[in-house]
Amino acid sequence: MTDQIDQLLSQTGMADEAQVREFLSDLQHTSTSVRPLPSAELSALLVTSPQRSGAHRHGLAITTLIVVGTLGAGATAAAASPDVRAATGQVAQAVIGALLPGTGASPAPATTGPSPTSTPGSSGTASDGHPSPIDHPDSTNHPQPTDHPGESPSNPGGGNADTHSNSGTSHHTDAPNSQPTTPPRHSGASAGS
Amino acid sequence: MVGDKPQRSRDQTVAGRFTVAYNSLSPRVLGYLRSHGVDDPEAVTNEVFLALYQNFENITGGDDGVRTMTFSIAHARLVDHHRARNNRPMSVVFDAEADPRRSPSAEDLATENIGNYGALALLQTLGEEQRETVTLRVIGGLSLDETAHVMSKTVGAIKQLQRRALESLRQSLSQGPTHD
Repeated sequence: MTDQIDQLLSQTGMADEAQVREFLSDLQHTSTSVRPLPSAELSALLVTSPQRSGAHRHGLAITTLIVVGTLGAGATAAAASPDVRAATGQVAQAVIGALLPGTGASPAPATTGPSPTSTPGSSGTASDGHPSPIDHPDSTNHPQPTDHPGESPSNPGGGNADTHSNSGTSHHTDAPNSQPTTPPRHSGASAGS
Repeated sequence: MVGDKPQRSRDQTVAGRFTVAYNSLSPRVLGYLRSHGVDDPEAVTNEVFLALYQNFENITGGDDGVRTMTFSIAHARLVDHHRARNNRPMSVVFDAEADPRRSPSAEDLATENIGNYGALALLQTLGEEQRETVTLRVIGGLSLDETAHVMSKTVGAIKQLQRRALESLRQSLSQGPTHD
């Protein structure tokens, strides 16, 4: 940062004063050569890995793939039978479950009970009223309110994303009949209908 | 689900920017505090950045804005430190190597080595506001306007302070050690 030294000398009319320039350069160098050790509280706020920003791009790519793939399938399935649409929803769920394990989405929700052909999918027109696992209110990708900011920087894979496995699976019910009949929510993998 | 990602990415951006700011500015803040004789400059540096983080999202002006805010906080901490020390003398174990507040010895002058010790010692010959101006500009890397903002003075006042400070330094440096 010799720019400020140059500006300072210029502003004071001492651009040619070699001794003063040397003094200021030495002062700057010796005063800024020591890096302080952050306290524990401060360390918790600092990002330790540059991979945190990649988590966002990763999620965005997944969403894009799901949307593109589903739209492509949905365009054909629009005029097809509901079974095709259900199968498209299963594909979307499978992709989500494979790429985002913590969301609670699974390709084969064996514990929910409904038959595969009657899987609500993502269209929101479930015939049997059973919400899909990814539509379960508790299996969303919402970060938990209790997530501590301090935990995130230490998690190279992205803080909040890694807590999904806890939120998704812990609330994934095994008792389909105990679930209220709530309208399935749009999961982002819309079939377009 | 989609609505959550912007929040997460925003948090990651804030933390990332804050980390960049810390890595870039913490040595300067430490040097600035140390040059003014703060008793525990590393602890105060931590305080500065914890305070900076509380308001980090609201800082405008990019890197310049972050730097100005950082040294505004550091300056305020320094003022508090001096005020507290003036009101309450503190007895500490004297550490000659860590305390720059003394005149250079004849040996130091004779060696003509304006190293860390000499630079800080020479800085102590300046008035408080002159020293503050020089350290903010040189150690902090602040511009004229930024220094004026931190010190709550006009640009004209800062120009006068830095001119007088450098003139004083030039005189001290030109006198230098005398060889027999």
